[in-house]
Amino acid sequence: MRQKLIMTSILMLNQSLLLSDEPMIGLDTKSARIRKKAVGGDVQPGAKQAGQHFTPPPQPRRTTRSSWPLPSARG
Amino acid sequence: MQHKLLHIEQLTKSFGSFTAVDKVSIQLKGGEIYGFLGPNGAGKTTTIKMLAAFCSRRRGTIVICGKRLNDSPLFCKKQTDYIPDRLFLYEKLTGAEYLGFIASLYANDSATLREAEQYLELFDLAGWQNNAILTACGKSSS
Repeated sequence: MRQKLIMTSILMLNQSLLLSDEPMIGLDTKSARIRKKAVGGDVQPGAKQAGQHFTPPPQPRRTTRSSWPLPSARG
Repeated sequence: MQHKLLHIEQLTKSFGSFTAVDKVSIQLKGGEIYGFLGPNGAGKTTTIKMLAAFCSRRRGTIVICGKRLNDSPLFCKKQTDYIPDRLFLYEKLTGAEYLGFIASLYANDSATLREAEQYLELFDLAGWQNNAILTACGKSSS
């Protein structure tokens, strides 16, 4: 709710440049979608935003030839 | 000549012997969305703080809407919204009072607050706007 209130206070100002550090932290899924839509939809000529997300998407776990199958399963 | 909205040239920030941001150069036009990706300690937050004029003793050039941040800091700050990674709110204010306070800082008129009502509805906060933030959100852990 804090993030939503701050987001409201920022979006209402409609400044030229929006700098957002961790833009999706603290937002539920619905609010994150609204935020993305609001920023994307509100982009006017001359408006832009810079943001950062440092949480990478989950990567598939790599299994090397030497570690698979596990020693206990090799028999 | 039409200026870029944001122009960064050779932006560098060091903490002692450690260089957190090393010669970053970016040019952005209006309507573009730009994201910084990288592991912890890569300098993403430091770069954003420099753009928001929260970092002193930096090297390089930052130009916002055609004016250098060093020469026209007030102008550049008026063009910029900054959302930090750690949020701060005046918790004893109500949501509506907080929005009014922020609007007054930017010398905006009632049209801004009407715009705020639209976003309050979108974020399902309309029913909470007259409650104290502390009551509505609970005590902040950060």
